[in-house]
Amino acid sequence: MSELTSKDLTFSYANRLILDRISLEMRAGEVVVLLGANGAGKTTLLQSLCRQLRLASGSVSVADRDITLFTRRALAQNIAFMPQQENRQSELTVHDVVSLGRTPHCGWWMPLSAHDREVIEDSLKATGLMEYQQRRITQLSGGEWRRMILARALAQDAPILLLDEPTAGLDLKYQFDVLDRVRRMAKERNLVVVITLHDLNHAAMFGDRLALLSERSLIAIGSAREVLTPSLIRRAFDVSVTVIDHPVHGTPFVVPLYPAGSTGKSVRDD
Amino acid sequence: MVLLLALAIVSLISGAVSISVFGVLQWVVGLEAASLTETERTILMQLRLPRVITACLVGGSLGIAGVGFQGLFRNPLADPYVIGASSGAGLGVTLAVVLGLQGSVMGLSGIAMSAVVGSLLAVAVVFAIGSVGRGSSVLTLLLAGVAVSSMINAMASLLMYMNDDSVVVILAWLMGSLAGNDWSVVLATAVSSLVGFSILWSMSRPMDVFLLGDVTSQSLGLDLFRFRILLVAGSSIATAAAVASAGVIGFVGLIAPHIARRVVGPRHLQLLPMSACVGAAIMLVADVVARTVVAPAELPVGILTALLGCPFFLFLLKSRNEAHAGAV
Repeated sequence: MSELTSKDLTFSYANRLILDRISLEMRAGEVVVLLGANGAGKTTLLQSLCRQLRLASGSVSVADRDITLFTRRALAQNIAFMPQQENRQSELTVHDVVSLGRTPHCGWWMPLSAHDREVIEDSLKATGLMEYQQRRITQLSGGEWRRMILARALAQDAPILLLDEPTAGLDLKYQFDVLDRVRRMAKERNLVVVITLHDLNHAAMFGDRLALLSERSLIAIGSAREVLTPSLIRRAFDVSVTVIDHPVHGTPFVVPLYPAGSTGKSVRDD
Repeated sequence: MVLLLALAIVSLISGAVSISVFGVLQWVVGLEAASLTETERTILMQLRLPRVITACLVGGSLGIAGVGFQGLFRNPLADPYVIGASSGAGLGVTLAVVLGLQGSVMGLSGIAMSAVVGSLLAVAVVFAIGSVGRGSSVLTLLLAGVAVSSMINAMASLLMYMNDDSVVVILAWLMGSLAGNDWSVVLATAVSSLVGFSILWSMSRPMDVFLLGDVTSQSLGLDLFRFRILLVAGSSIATAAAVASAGVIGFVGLIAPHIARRVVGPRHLQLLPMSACVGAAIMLVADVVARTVVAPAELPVGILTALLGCPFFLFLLKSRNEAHAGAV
């Protein structure tokens, strides 16, 4: 049982409404991609789903149990959250940081068990970080660092995975790697995965369902075909696009239409 | 550890009356050494040994309290006095002297007790102010600490200004000294530093997690409020142990964690005991120097820790790998 549900989730900050009555149901084994322009509230929504933020009203529940009833530790056993940023000023090594993903399981003092060590090693392998284990985190590039905190979220071994921009700053190869791995894990281990992404075409390829945030609320949720339409994209991102079929995969493929004269290229006249 | 023992022996032999190394060694390993006179034995048992142990406990407490506060603020410049402990102690001492509280409980004088109460109260006030509201509480806590400290310092200065005949007594206490501690002080200090150490050491893993930031700590299952309270409590108890038996000793709590981190790395399971040892070693050295440079008189050891510690710390900063600058 690992469904994640939000009901009329409302969040405001300094008397400003940021998210207005968001209701979402996420099922086990499904990858939901959150889309929206900068400042639309994607990160806020993810953080609200794991009780990083206090809701103004509404509720979030895991397997029908309100998340405010969980202790922090029990919640961390159920939901792993990969933040977009965190403090990088420490002399911890990659192995140290990934190991800390086991904290919800071993608590404050229990030493790591053989099982813990196995999970840590699997997570390091899955993110291609085996050779980086002893590297200090201050010496990592942006992409390596992101893979490390993904590895830590994997080591947390929770049935619900919330990933905030897991592909930002990664090379194309690692973007595919990460999304592919996350998707396969969602299917194999029957996880709920919620990801925020900027790339609409990645969303179409890797998401089972897409949720589009704009003007503080969800303006669309459904398959890529239902959500990635020129009119919804114009409404959410204020850009003109055309949507074609991917020549190989057949999924919807969003092609931007650049404003006339902005690129120095002429418009093809078919 | 070996270094610490060697330093302890050096500390035992040095002082106004010098005692032979062999005699002390024989005495330490339990031989009824004929080479020590009755007077020497009394000096060792009643004066030097309690003093050496107090120095170790004070240094060790400051070392772990430093790790605690640097962890709490994720700031390598934090020390045990950053959230008001020292100014609180100062005000406590000033009040005690001005009001003439000279009694003693469990070997701790009224002055020492008021220092502890003052420092714990100041920390509690700062913590209460800093924890109001949500958001970046670490920064709020730090700012509250600075503000409350300044106010308390001003109050203490005002009291001293109005009672200028007590200034010398108060200042002597604020400069820190290990002189005049007997076995009951050793016991009281040992108990409170052990309590502080146990609290902090049992939080080694949460302290590692906390390095990564508030959001990450929560998502890894840390209850931030409870964690901060325990961290402040453990660090303050350790600080109070030091303040009660030696007054305000600067710099040890700041540099011991830095040196320890260079030896064993940032993980608290190893860092806390190492920082305790480093702190103890620094205090022993400072105390020996304090007792010998102007013998038979003594310098306040607090002045020495700052005098010796400061250049050493600057040297560390300079020789430090630039890539690690600012890392906790």
